[in-house]
Amino acid sequence: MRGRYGLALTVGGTLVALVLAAALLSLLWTPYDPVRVDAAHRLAGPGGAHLLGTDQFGRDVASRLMTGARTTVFVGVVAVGSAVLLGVPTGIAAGMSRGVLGGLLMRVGDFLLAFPALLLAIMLAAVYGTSTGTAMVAIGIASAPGFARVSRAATLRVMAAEYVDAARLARRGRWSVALRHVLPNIRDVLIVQTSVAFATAVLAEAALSYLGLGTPPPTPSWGRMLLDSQELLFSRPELCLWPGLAVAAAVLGLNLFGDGLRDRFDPTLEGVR
Amino acid sequence: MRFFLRKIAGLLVSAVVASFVVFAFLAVLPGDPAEVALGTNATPDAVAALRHEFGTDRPLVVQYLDWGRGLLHGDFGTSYVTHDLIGPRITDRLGVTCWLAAGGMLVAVLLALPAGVLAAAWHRRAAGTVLSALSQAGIAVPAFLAGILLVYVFAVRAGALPAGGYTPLADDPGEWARHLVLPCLSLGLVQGAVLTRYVRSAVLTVLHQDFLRTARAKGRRRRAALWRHGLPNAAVPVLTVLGLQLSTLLVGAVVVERVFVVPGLGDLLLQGVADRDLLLVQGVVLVLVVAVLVVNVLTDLLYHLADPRLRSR
Amino acid sequence: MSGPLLEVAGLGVDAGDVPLVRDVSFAVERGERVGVIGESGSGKTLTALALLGLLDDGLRASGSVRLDGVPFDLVGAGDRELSGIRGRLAGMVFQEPMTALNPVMRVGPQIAETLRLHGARPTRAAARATAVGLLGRLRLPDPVRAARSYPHQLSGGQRQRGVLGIALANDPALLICDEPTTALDVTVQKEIVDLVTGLSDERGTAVLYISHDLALVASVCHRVLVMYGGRIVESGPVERVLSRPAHPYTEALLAACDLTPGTRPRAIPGSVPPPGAAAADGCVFRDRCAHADDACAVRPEGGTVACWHPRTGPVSAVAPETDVPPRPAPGPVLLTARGLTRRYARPRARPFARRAFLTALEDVGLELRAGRRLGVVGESGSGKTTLLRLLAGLDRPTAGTVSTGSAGGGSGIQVVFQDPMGSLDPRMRVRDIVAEPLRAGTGTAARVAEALAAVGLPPDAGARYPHQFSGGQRQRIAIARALAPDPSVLLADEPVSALDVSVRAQILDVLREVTEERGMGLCVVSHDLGVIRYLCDDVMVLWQGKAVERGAVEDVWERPEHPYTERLLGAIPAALHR
Repeated sequence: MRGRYGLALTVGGTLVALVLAAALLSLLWTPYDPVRVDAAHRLAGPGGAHLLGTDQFGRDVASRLMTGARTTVFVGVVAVGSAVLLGVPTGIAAGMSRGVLGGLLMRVGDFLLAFPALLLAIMLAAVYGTSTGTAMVAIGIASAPGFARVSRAATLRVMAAEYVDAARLARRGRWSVALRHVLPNIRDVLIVQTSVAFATAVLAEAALSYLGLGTPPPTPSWGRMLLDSQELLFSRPELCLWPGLAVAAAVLGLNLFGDGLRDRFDPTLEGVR
Repeated sequence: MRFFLRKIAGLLVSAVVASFVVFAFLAVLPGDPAEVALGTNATPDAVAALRHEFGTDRPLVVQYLDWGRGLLHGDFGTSYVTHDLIGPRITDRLGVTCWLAAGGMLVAVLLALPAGVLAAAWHRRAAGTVLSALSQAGIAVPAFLAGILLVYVFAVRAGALPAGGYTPLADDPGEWARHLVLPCLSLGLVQGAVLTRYVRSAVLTVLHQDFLRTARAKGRRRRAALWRHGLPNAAVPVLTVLGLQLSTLLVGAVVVERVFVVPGLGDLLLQGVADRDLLLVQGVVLVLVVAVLVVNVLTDLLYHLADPRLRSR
Repeated sequence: MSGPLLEVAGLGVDAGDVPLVRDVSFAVERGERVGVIGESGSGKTLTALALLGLLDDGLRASGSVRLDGVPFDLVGAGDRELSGIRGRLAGMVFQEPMTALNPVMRVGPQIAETLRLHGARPTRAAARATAVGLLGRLRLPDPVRAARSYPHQLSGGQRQRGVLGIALANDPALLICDEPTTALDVTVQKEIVDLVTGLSDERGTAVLYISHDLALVASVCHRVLVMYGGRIVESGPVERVLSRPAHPYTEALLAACDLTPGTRPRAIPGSVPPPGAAAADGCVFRDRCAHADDACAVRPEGGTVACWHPRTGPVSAVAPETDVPPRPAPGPVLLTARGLTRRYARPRARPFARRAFLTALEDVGLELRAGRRLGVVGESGSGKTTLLRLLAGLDRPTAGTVSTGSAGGGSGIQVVFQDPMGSLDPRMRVRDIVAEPLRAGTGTAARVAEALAAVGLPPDAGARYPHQFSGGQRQRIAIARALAPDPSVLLADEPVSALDVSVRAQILDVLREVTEERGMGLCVVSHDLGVIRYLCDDVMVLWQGKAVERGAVEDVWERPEHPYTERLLGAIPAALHR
């Protein structure tokens, strides 16, 4: 059995690492300038001077993919990071306080769930125009209720445990219980949720860019590359393939990684080992 | 019954709050629709006149109440940009999006139920692992990408189906169906992959429950026990997911409409954003949000009907 | 009527390459009731499941199981063949009535289903009528209503009757009961056991009764098999095995169970063997056996006793020990509770309706003195846990007061909880767990070491995590944590109910010793009157939130006054044969 969790973790980890490496490398070096238009080399085929060819403006596809990875990672990190900062303390607070506050916070969270990331982003884009920032804010706000939900449920489980009663008998205050018992015991769940939320963020970012509501051109993004290459589906279908593969690989990697972690953390499997 | 009424009341409150949130969100806009409409070199007098015509010179509360009163009569107001009524435009488009979401749901359910049950029943065999891997891969593909791939295979290579566009049902049912196949497939395949995972895990959970062993101890064969006792229990958690999925589909339809150039709500919404037609955006977003809320309430009700433990409370 | 009804030969169960059960051979005659006794990990439940081919996926059975009238071996038979036997020739009752029934299906149809799967295959209506009749014979008060109910609308005992109805619907020749009453209250347990023995006598049904409870098996069965570490170590008629046990394990188990006051139960050192011990060389009990020598390195094979050094004499082992010190005189009052009442608000039936309340505890008072041990006994819903939480200050009473006497030194009240896994934070090292009630900078390390030593744990235990310990050891850690701040009062909530019989006595002794040495007051909450009688001076009986009887433990044991106390005492299986 272990081998299989190992496989999910390994494959997932490798894919995530590849995306991260491409994003980091693009900060220092790309084969070509990803935004330089080169009319002489429009739609160059793969191989040759351009590894994956060029698009209809003669821009190097490989370089654009690498820079697109940077956009994806950047949006994901900021969005998921703010979702964690917003959602986790809210969830823990709601889980630890039995009163009206907990219920109210969760009501707000449930209500927010009716506004999917895409709708939020569209509203934001209508008001503030399209930018990477609005995409990040929208995805962040839309992911926060998920974190609040998960951390509240996990916190409730911890608070029901007898060791929390023991801590209260030991005259440990709320903060002490939260830091000594709740956080360490919900950590695993949060790590898995982060992985899942990151995958969702990658998907949402790609969808927004595809709709023209995310990162504005000329900055490369995978969704935008898909939109641009869709016109060429009849003549150069492989141009759609590269950004499509990139999105799928990133999401698959994150999901597999999260699954692998969940299986590894699952306490019910602890005894089986 | 009490539960039903409470849910309906909750829905009404949520819908009102949603309308307020949507309004407030767009009202804080720094730009002024009148200025936008007239362009940068309009005279202040003209702007003021237009502002008066739009009604945006009144206090926000009055504007909200006015908009809200209109909504109660199905009046979404008049567009600042195209100067026509928004309500009819939304209802025209709503049907298309509903067909898309319903078709996508159908594909997803038809795909996920067998695949999920089999993946769980075979979870120790290679076939189960392959099904799980396929669903993992399916989840990783965004719906619009699936759409592009489908267009490539069925429209570009095979030439069997149209790559885009839409024909109303009333005009030509055959063409209507041909135009809907690919959009519904691209929505449904991806959602089906997600749903497969949930079905699989629900069935897996049930497989390990004591009552399934009781069923076998009374002489049910393994498969019959799963069918008769396992699946009704696994259906309970799957129902909630179905509700969430339907909301996801409604929103996913927005993107897929762009891929296939289908004139649905999403198309209207994006047009509104492009024109900065705020009243239009406001209306469409509200319709989508209320649809999501309604679906959530329906799911809750179904969930309560499916589980006697909740029903008797 | 040729051979025995059930004949098991060389049955084994493996999980992958881990052997869990080995060489299990026995026979059950028609109408005979055979008990299988064992602690956790003994393989008793796996044996029961393997008989009817109900093992989970991933577990594999070997050997042979023959049922009279069935032309094939049940081990290795296909699902189709076995499904014709299950529910018709052999029925099975499971441990957990809460989960054994399908929650989204009414109880009557679940029983009717068994009828319709076999034999005459009656119509739906006829089967349902039969099911109602069956529920009536299982002495359910309103069988028509019960048949129409969903499982969650019934109590634990009623559900278990439903499961019994499923198992007995087709009047099978063999009924397999896997710990059918472990999850039930003592008084309900008695009813179910009486039903099973009554029906078995009446219909001539053979019963294979699996349990960890020696006294219960003794009251039900004719013959008994004792399992340990995946093997049968002893078998024989109940009277013989329980009065003159031949295997040292049986002997030690009997001694560990004997909670007669004034004696010291002989706790079996160590803990139950890990999975996989079944195929190890030598005797499985060797590590914990007082009589083990070099001969035991070879696996003993035997007809009725698998031992190289079978005990021959009568039960000398349960002779009372005399080193129990006399009880000290009661000291000053440490804890007083007056008129404790706790109500919980139920959700309103409709908006603005008057709130309904559930009274968990009503007007209960008590006084705990230094050096005294008070037992609170009650079944589920009696309010005993509520009382303990109020005393500990973990919950606020609706009315009444709890006050701690200033006479005692130390820092107030500490609690030992029921679940030795859930009461220890899995993410903390043992030394941090024990140090939790201590304020930093007061010689913490020394006090932790002292507390660990007091409960008999090695000094290096502090560096490890809870999951690296057995259940008994974890409960010692919990006691060490409670002792660390040197409290004047120790409260214990069902401190041994989650533990194996053989380690139960160790924990009771630890509790007794530490409270005696430090002159603490001890209040133990338990459903088990035997545990209270062994450990405590005084007892209070809680019933439906009220204290219905109180007094010195021996007086209540000998001369119960309240009818409920009488019922509770009557439900305890007849004392072991001695």
